[in-house]
Amino acid sequence: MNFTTLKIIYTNFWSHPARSLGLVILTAIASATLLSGVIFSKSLDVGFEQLSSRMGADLIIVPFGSEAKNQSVLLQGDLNHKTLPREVLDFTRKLPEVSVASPQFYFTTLSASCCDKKVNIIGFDSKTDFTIKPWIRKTYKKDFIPGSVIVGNDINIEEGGVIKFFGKEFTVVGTLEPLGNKLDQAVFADVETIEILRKAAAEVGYNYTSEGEPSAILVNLEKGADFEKLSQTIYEHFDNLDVIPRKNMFDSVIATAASFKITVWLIAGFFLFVVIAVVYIAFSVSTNERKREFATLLIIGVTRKKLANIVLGESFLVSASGAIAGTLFGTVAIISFRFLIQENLQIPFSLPNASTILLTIIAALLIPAFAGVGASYHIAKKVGKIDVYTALKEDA
Amino acid sequence: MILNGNSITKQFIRRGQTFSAVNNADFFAWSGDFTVIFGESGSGKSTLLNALTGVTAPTSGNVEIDGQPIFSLNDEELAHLRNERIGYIPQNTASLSSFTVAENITLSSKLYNKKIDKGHIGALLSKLGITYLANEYPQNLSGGELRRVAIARALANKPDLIIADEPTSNLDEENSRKVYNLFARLARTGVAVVIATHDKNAFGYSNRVYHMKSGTLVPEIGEYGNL
Repeated sequence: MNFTTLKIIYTNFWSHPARSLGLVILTAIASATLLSGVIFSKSLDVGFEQLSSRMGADLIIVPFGSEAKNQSVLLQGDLNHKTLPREVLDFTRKLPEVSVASPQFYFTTLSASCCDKKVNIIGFDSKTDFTIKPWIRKTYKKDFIPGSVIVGNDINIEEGGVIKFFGKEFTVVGTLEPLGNKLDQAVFADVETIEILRKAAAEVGYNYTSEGEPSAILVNLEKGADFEKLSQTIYEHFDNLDVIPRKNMFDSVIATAASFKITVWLIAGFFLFVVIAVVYIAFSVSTNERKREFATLLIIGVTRKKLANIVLGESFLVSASGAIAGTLFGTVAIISFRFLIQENLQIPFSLPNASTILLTIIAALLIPAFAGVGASYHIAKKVGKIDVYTALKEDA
Repeated sequence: MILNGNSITKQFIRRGQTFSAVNNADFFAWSGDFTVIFGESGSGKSTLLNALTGVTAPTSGNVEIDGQPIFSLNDEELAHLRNERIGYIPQNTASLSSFTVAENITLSSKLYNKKIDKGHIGALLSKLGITYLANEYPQNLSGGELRRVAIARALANKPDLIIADEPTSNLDEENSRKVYNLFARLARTGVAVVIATHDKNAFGYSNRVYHMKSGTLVPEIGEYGNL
């Protein structure tokens, strides 16, 4: 394509500015929804993967009726303070099917004067923990000193600072990397710090738990162990608890995420379909209006192939402009609003890595751009076969 | 330059019936000829010219330029031929509305990245009396002005074959005379000029006349030898 051909494409774009800009905006919407749809989906996958691997255990034992609440612990920060009897932990550890059993302790602090802020505190036993400690270790390598806490990424207290709960100050010894869920707003502490916290709470009148009573017990099984048999054994010995297998731990989270994903994919698919339909109609109308112009170009020596390329070039200009605008808008929007999305969806949401985002951006640029070109392909072929005599006679 | 049409037949389907717009027409034109194809509206002149320029393939027969059958050329070769050697002025021509008159006229050169001969273009505009329209857009022009723009565009690449379909339609007598004079001068320089018209004034400029009636072409060679 030489400069003059490009000029024909460019001038035609601006000869119908409203139509061209309408198509650009439509393609931009399709591109933005496609981009945000893919990144949204990927972010849910990544968020869930992180959550699943970080909170992963073969099974979890919780007080009866707090199954939903335990999913909330991870995602919504809305805790109750039911605990399990200490004997459940001791009993479980002795079972032959159990490889490791580690307690977790959940507290919610208050937004009263005794506490700097209302946060969830997740306690773990650093000697036995296999779910929280591994990823805390990625950021915090030192010992877990009694009276110290590690804070989630959204808690803006620097290392070495102090945070006060129930009238007692705790030293912040580390800040975790962002997770993309409510755990970013949680505080993590070893079991010894939890005991200090529990006593402090009791001193100001909040008797949440008794010493050593866990909120949940996370269990990893021996290889080949039978979950059903194990849970049966536990149920035979204890009332008022639930034994939940790993696959059921995030049921509601998975269901919510899946419905969000379906919705965004439907929206993206709808706009892509609209782009294809509207580009086809718009170019069909436009080329029909310009039949005599195309016939004239043929007469002065433009090849039929080049005529078709002019139509394809025009649709590419429209759809590529839209795709660029949409991709830019979509990228900026999803990066800017990711925290708001996390806040409102209350499901794990963590942006995928840079290469995935880059590939998604490329796809969001190319798919709507080529969908637009593809939609006009049939029109371009028709223009390439134009009959000069008939075209010039029409509306003369 | 020899333009040779052999047994050209072009048929269309009209109301379910096959209809021959051009019927077994033989035609030739040489360099320096000013050929007039005379006939009433609907006699098949335009269809014949479309076949001679290669824009419409005949149902049967062939067209040769310098012995080369033009319908055996591929899309690119045919387009190149039209750009380089044929200046075609169809009956109902059009211009690119977002290009100025000057840009429309030089478009055929620019599409092939040719150097614009400004002197030649300026002379054409002057001879056709449209110099003052160079920077206007086609939508602001009258029918007669558009016609002269189409003629200038067809001549911009200095073709050696000019084929014009009713070139003086929409033109007043004065401008028609300018156009015929321009064609006659070009014919004297060796260009083959073929025009289809029902304007008998054209005969005075031509050296070869064909009559076309109901698709049949009849030569009247030598009757009007004014060149």
